[in-house]
Amino acid sequence: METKLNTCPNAEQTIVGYIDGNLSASEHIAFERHMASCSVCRTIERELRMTQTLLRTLPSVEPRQDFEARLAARIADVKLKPSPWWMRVWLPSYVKPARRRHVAIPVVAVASVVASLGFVYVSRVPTVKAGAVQTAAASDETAVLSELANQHHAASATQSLGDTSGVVVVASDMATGGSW
Amino acid sequence: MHQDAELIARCQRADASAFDAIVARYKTKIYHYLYRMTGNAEDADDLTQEVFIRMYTNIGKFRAEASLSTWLFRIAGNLAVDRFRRTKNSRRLVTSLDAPIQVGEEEASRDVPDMSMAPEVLVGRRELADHIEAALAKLPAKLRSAVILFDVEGMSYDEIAGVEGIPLGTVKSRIFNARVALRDSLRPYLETE
Repeated sequence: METKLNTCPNAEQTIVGYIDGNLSASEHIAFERHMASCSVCRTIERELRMTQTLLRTLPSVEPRQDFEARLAARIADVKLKPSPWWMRVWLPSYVKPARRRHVAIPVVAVASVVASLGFVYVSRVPTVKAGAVQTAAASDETAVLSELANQHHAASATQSLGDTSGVVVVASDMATGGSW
Repeated sequence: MHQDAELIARCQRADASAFDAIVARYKTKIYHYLYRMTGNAEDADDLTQEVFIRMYTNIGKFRAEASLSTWLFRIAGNLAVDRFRRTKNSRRLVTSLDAPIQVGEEEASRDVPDMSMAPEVLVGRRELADHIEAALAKLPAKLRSAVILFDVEGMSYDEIAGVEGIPLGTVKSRIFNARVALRDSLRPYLETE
């Protein structure tokens, strides 16, 4: 016959605490006194204790022998999944795996800002190509030499150089490429 | 536990031997719990592996606020509940012994052993275990988990409260209600005790 549980106000947490040994000493004694005069609680306590005994007869079960090997294979699959590129940045070994994400994000952010600033700075500095520099230098040298030559010829246009035996070199001849 | 804390710390430093040690330490307990929760070895095995994979991938997030045992059982419980939800519509966890068998378009009653018979005439301990497992499977998952953790896994009320994330009073209530339901399912065995 099924014992009704709602016939006694003690029939829940007190009974379960009593069966499981989780009542205080005074609660334990008080409940035993109560059971002595309450057949409903006595019956419930006995039946639930037997139920607990039955549950504890369940045989123990073990995972398969190759549990670890199969787990290792599944974990290897997990490992193969690539982490985001920004998580693969170099970090010191003392940064715990748990903290890597928290450290990697600022590191990547700072690196990006530095790279951007560097790019802006470099793009603002005037740059001259090597070929252009050489051309400019060569052009300057030609101009200087030409100027010096002109000055020289202007100064010596009316002056004989050494023994010219009456030959007069006119500066304009040189300027026009005339022969000496 | 101190040893668990040390293993966790080593795991967080990517020490594979610490992970192996945790698996060796907890695999049987977790498997046992999941076997009782799911009622079959295949699901229990698959979910136990999943527990350790979750642990592996989330070890960095583990904080010492809960014990390793509590954390692993919480993962296991959540996985079991997820599995029930997913398989709820595709197949029943355990077929009720009272449910009729469909034979063509007609129904026939199952060949169920007489539960009122004395235990010694039953096939044996395996059959008793089958009936206890069937009774467990009929319980709502929350009640089943509480009673398994206490009566089968030997956890304390406090530990169960941590695993389930519920108050102590709720733990006691669930254990009580679970035992009452089991008592009703297993009454023939109780009466012959």
